Amino acid sequence: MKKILIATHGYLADGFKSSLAILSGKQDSAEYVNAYVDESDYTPRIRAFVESVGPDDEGVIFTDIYGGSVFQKVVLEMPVRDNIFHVTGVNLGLVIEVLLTSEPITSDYLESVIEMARRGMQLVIPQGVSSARGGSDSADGFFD
Amino acid sequence: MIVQIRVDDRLVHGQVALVWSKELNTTRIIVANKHAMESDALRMTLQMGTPVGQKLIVKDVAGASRLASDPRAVDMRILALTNCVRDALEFVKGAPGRIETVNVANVGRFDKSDPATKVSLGSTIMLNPDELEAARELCNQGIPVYHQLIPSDIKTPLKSLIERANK
Repeated sequence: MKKILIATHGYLADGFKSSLAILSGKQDSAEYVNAYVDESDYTPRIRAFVESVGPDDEGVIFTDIYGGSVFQKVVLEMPVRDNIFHVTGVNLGLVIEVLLTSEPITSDYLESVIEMARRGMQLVIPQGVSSARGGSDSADGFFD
Repeated sequence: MIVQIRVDDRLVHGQVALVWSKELNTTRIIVANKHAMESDALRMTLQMGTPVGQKLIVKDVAGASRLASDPRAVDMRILALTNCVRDALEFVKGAPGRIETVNVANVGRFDKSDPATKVSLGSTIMLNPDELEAARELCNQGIPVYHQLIPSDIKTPLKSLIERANK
């Protein structure tokens, strides 16, 4: 079973939950830690998540920012196991891809998804539209 | 094969394309909408809303029916989009045997017809009289016609929503 935790400063994690609910309805397939919104220590929740990832599960912990305190706590709690991963710099494209995929979660898979998510971060420049819309009749390479 | 015609008044936007293409395992998207076909700006934004790896084509309804009827389309899994029920009906009638299902998801909220004449089949389906008539006819085309906003929702037959609205 795939297990996902999103851990961030403040309510960013819940923000992801809200977006995932709208985009996929599958927000309950992940867990969320909004660190520092109250006095509680969130480390036990991270530890509990790590423990919940059994030998037949695949776990991914997403944190918000490289080097931040949430990142550091997760680094300290991460076990040396080949079925649980920590990805930082979390963004929506990345999470939704990992949430919805049926691919096995491996480091290679995560690297490729991270690369895809990186490309999704761009300055938007309106492009020239494909000029030949070909009229109502042509297939414009659709079937190729 | 057109695995699903989705009736969505926002046509292609990130969530529809991404989530439904994955759910239905489709590789191509046909938008059947005359206005979109004729508007460079709209085609550009639709293209931007199309996930990497998916092929998008934007045609009017007649052109989309022709594409769906093309022999090359038989073994492909294709998602199609219209922004009104009438267009979905014409699309289905124009491509017999090539459409598996119709999903009436979000429609009629922005169509500028008189709100007093619209029948609501739920919070996201508002049908003016022509659309309601098209919806009835669509339910009689011999293929499943239902309402399903997101893949984790159940499929509610459109016929039952029409009956529930007692029209």
